[in-house]
Amino acid sequence: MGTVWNYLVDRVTVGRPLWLILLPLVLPPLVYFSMRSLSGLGAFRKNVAILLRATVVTLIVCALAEVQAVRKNDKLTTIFAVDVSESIPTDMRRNTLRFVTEEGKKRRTGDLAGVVVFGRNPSVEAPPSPSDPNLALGIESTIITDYTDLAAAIKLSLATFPEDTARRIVLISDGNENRGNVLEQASAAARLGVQIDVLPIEYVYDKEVLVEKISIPPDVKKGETVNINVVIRAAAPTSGTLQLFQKDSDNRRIPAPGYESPVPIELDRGVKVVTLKQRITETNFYTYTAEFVPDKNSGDQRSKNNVAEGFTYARGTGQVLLIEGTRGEHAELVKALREKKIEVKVLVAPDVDGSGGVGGDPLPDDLGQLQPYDTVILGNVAKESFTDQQQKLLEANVHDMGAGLIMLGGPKSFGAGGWQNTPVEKALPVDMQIKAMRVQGKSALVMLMHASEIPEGNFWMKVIAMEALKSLSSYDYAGVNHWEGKEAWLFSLRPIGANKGNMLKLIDRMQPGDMPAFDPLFNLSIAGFKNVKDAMTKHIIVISDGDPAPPSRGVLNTLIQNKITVTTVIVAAHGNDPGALQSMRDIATKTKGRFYNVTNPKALPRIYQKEARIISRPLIFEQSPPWLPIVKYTSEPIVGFSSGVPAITGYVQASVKENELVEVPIVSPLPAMGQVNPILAHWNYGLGRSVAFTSDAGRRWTTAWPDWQSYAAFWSQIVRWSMRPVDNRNLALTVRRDDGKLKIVVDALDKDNQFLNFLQMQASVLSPDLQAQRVSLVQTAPGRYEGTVENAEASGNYFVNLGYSGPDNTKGIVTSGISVPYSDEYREMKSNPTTLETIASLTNGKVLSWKKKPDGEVDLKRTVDESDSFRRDAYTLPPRGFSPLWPNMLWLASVLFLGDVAIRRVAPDVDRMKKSIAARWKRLRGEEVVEQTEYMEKLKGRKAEVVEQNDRTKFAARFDAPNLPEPNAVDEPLLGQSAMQTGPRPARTDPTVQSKPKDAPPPGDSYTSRLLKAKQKVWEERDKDKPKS
Amino acid sequence: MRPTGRRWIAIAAVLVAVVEMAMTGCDLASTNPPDLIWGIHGRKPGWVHKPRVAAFDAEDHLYLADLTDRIQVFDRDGKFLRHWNTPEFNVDGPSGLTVDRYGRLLVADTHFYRVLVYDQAGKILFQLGDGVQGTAPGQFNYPTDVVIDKAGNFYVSEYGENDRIQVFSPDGKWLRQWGGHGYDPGEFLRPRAMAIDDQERIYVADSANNRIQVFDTQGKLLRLWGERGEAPGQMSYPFDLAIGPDQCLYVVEYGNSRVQKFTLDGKSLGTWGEPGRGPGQLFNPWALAVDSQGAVSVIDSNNHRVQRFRM
Repeated sequence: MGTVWNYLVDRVTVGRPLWLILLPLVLPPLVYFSMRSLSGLGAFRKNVAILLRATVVTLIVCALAEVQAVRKNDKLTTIFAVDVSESIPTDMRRNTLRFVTEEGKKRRTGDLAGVVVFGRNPSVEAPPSPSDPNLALGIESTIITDYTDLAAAIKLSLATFPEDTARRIVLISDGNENRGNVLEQASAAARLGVQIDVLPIEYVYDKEVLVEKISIPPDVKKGETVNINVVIRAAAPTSGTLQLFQKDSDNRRIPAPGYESPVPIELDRGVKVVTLKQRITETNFYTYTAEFVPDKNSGDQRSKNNVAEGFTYARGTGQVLLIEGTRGEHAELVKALREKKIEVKVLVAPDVDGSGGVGGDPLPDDLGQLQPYDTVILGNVAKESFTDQQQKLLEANVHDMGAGLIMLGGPKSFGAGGWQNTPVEKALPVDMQIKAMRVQGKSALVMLMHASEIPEGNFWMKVIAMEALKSLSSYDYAGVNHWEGKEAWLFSLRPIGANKGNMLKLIDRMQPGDMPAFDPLFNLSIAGFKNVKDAMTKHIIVISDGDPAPPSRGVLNTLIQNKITVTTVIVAAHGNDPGALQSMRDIATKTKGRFYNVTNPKALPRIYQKEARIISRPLIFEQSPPWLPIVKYTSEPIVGFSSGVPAITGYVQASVKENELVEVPIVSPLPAMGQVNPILAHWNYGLGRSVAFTSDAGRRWTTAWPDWQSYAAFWSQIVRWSMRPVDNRNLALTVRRDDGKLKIVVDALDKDNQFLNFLQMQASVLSPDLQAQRVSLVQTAPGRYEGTVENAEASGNYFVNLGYSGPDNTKGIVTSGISVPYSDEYREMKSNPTTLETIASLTNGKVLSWKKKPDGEVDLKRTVDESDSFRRDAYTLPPRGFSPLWPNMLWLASVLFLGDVAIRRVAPDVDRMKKSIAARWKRLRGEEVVEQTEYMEKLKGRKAEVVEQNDRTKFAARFDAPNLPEPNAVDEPLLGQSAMQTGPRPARTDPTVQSKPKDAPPPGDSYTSRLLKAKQKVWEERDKDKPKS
Repeated sequence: MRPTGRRWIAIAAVLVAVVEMAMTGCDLASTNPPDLIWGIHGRKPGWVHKPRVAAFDAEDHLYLADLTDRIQVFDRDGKFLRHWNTPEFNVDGPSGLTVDRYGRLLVADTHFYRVLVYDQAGKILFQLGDGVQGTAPGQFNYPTDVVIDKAGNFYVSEYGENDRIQVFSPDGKWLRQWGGHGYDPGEFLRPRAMAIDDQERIYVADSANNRIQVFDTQGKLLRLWGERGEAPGQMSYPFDLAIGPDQCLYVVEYGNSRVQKFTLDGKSLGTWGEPGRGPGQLFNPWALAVDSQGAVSVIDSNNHRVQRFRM
């Protein structure tokens, strides 16, 4: 019994055990009532019937309780987690892949093998499958190799396992992790019963040289000679050369003056500081790189850790960067500022085409390049001229670096330039969208997306659709259609309004397919435009590789007739196919759209922004004759201009940010719609200041201004107000990086070298990916303040800006920074097998090892032979799979129920059966069988019994009330009886007649014919009823 | 006693109904499930990455080309046998494959404007076309399929600037051409595939016109059928067709994600498949191949697999 119970517990489980409570509630009453109601059946049949009923009820209750069978599966899945980070020596990386390939072949039938590769990120190289993993050709996953995250690799492996097999991870790594916490994940694996075998990759870089860092004073003066300290660490005495480089204005690396040829140096074991001297000749941002090149026989193995970078800047008088959309457009302004002794550098922004930009100057794309400028002016330049990164840079430059930002108006500025929802909008005192404005020129845009086979085509589709949508105003209409097995709207053409969020979500889930022809999608778009009555512009942007069959003449004509313009964007997956180019260009030319041949997918989002901007420009307000803006009050930047400014003829509408810091000294009285129309607005944003001037600087809407005598004074005053304040330079800011954290230390002294105490200090650290982290510094000693910033792991430049305010209302900004030349992977000098061994012991896994040949090379065959990644041992937990039993139970219950009915209706005569069997047995043996008279006699007896009973009934019936129904007239009619009952009713009203023979069926009137008659009668009655109804 | 019985009958009826519902609820599979589904998505040998064209040889080995530069050979049940690479590669692989009765593999090397003739081991025997994109006779734009007639002449369909069928002699000499870009009978909009029957009638899947056109070897239009739609007899982008041993025409429809069976006269005999990712469901299939036993292997391109079934 015990073993049966154990077996059941092992093989059966209950999903909703609460239902089982029904069993004790239902079974006893069932048995009790059945005992009584079935008492006439005889003991054996009664017991069987009760047993069957009880079983049926039990089965139903079990079905309700979701009883499930537990399947045991002896399959095993092994996932090889392979470390491919930079710290793994190249030859071992090759060996690892060969090991996995060979070890995978030892898979037993039914077992699954999978591969997860990892560095900073893990990726499933081969999902668990019943085929041999083949890594002989290298790995296909894209792995960022500059960090190691063992924990993420285990987490992904755990998530990749199929459910119904035993699980094992074989972790091949050097055990050096610089992200995540592997022991935590290993415990999670142990809890899940997943074994982790480890195969440590061991190495020692005993002759490695590291250029640890370059240290340069953060702030230098023009004409000064600075000491650049290069810190080099050598694991063994060696020799080599050291060279110093600097970056020129185009961000290229050139040898620093005086270091045109490398300097030979000798290194002892340990740390050595080499001091190199440089003279600072101009006010600029300087980036220096020091590179150590080992001699041939030095034994230094990795070159990536032989380079380090550092930067500094030399400040001069204020300098301004003006970025304009068209060359020379702001000549008057530049002249005026230079008159007022403000240095101005002018750059022309590129216009966007298929290659990602054309003409113009290269714009700053790292924060260092922006540092020489104390204010950036954007003069009538559209958003798409800047990459997302550059837009973030412009914002961070104000917020975290304390510089100024001025946006001048024009047809490509503010909302008209597509700047809504950008970081730049965030930095400005105005918002680009106008609330509660009557908009006249609505536009409708349909984007027609075709999957292109460019790398990451789907990703780019989403990016561009989202960018275009973001660039449209909320009054416009947008729709996206694509091929999803057949042509379909992703979302049909509708007002953007509040739908934007949902639209973006839909786009994020979009999976455009490969459509064979353009016609159906154009037809769909045309139908969509028909439902939009108030759109001034109707525009379609098609992105495709040009491969679908070109639109028919009929469809093109419909587009032209309905004034629907089509811009075509070809992404050439197959190179420049002249036919495809021609057909895409044709569509654009015939419908008066634009044509782009995209060679660089990164240009795509900006093309879409430009297209969306061109069709959506309801925000420009122009009117003649000129009218005078109103100077409401003179705020700090326009002190002295209370007498007013000259007239204007237009500006870009924007709305003032709802923030008490925003000041709006100049407004326009037109259009008189009850809202504030800012012409000049300014505020403090983060550490810096920004200004919005919504009319332009003299060419289109302010033609009278350059001749205004105060023109130069007005603009120089505004620009100077926005500029970054000059440092007080009595604070020494030091930044150190240690263990992935930045430590900021400030020593504050006044001019008389007295400690400055009780300063409020806020530091803002910009990481290489422009994420800002803020930290308050705490005073730790007289004149000393400290703070720590976590997560400084990425390599690249970190800028630290310190804003401070003292008790005597002194304020200032100090800037410094630190460069992390290479990832921590290159700092590892030896492997860390201990961590791996801990993982193995936590999860009951095995520690494998590389077998070596006598010459020290890895003996792959022996290594594979002595490991068994598909073994079954005491810790290989076979998984339990569950399969529901309730359908079977319900079937069984219904079958048993039939049994219950049968047992009550069919009474087997056990005696007779016994005798019959005995007789057969005798006959089989050839013995004579005694004639079975007994059965006949029994039958006769039974007949007599029935006749007697009938007579008794008749007799009794004579004394019954005539209308009383017969007790058995309702229930369970037998065929014969029912035939009689369908006969004339008088049998009941006059029981005496019933027994007479004439009431019996007339001779020759067979049972079938009687049935027929009855049926006919029913039909006749029905026919009679019909006309009535 | 009797009321108890009736209650039991009622409960039994409920039970039967419950069981009935449970059974129909579980049985979601298509009424005509495939005999076999195979294919693992990937670029490794034996795996497939958006397969787009396939053909059986006389031994029921399936030659299959996908979005890589490989031609892979499988047995009838999808067991990987061997593969080789096409000479050049540019994003897509070939989009037309035919095994001729000499056992040669005729490959429409679409993006290199030529037709390659391989032996079964993957050795190139010769090529049609000079590999330069062009519209002159003998040049190709994007060749999509090749068939041969009894005399061994090659018929090559193509699209691009010229939607036409060109005919070459067995030694590769240009003989004639017909068709042209358009909507009228005898013109083509992306002829995607061809099949040739015993009477040397050429069946062309005129995909973007959503119809089948039948020609004699001289290019005379014999008949055409089909229009865009989902009803039997209608089509949406017929991308491939093949004549089975039962002398019926099997057409795979990219747009409707199904296979439709026709008599050679164009009478629809039924469809198989519906859009989706489950068994018996297809996701923009590109091709099909019929084996010697009359079973259809449909190349379920966007599900990266092959499904075999009978109609």
